[in-house]
Amino acid sequence: MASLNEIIHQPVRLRIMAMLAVLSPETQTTFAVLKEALDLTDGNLGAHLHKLEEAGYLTITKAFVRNKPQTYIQATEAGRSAFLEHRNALREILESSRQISSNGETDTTKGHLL
Amino acid sequence: MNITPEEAQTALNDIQHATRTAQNVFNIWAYHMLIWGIAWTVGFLISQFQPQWISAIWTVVVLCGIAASIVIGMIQGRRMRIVPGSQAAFISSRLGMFCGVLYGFVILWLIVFPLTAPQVSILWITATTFSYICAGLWFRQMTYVVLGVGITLMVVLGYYLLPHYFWLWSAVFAGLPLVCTGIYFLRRK
Repeated sequence: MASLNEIIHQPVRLRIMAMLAVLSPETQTTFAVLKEALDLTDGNLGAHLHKLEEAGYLTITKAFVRNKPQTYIQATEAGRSAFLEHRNALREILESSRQISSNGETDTTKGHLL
Repeated sequence: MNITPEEAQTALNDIQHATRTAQNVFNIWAYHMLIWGIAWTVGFLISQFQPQWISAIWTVVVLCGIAASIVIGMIQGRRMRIVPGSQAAFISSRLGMFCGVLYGFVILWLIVFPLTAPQVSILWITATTFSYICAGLWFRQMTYVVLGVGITLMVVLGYYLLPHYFWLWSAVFAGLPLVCTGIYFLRRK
């Protein structure tokens, strides 16, 4: 049974990890791309990235590209695993809720038939 | 940590939305496949039904395809990069060199050997599918291998069995599969 992850569950961090998980393991994206795609301010995105970096779920690399500073972000293996486990836990919650409601409906039907 | 099924559904919807956004932003190969799939399909259809325009249309189609590929490559270069010094960076640079040499030799063979128009087509198609198969094997992406092998087999089959409809056959079995694969890469969950 997969378990929920409190750090990743926060909506902005969840969306950040979902976007980074699409990239192949040895690929990085930029701060600017995440900011535009997620429609966040510099401060908001920076704070959430810092939190995820502290947890070891992503790495932040600063580099100069054509004399311009660029910030690259990449999900770590631990980050990918934690995100996938969290997503599986969410699916399990939905699945078990559906099973409970369908069992309830079956019992009701049986009740009506009897 | 406990959450309700409604909260779980909302979180899963957020994940799906972010994933779709990321696929549209990052999926460079999907856009290349779409561009070249459309270029091939249009080129082959016009070659079948308006053969007198074959040289002009392929000149236009190939130049447009190359220009679009360069633009996409530049846009994607600003959005993402392979980690310098990583194994993926090494394989990518080797794949780039390999494709450069492969297409260089194809151009050489086109100059040296007197080929008919369908033979020129099949040479380009199979060179491209050859590079897909190699990329699929190196990056362990079976979709590329299956796509490369499938298009190669179908095009060779059409070349020998239906020579009068070879262009139409190539539009359906070489161009459209690229378009469909590109759409699949952009829309998969």
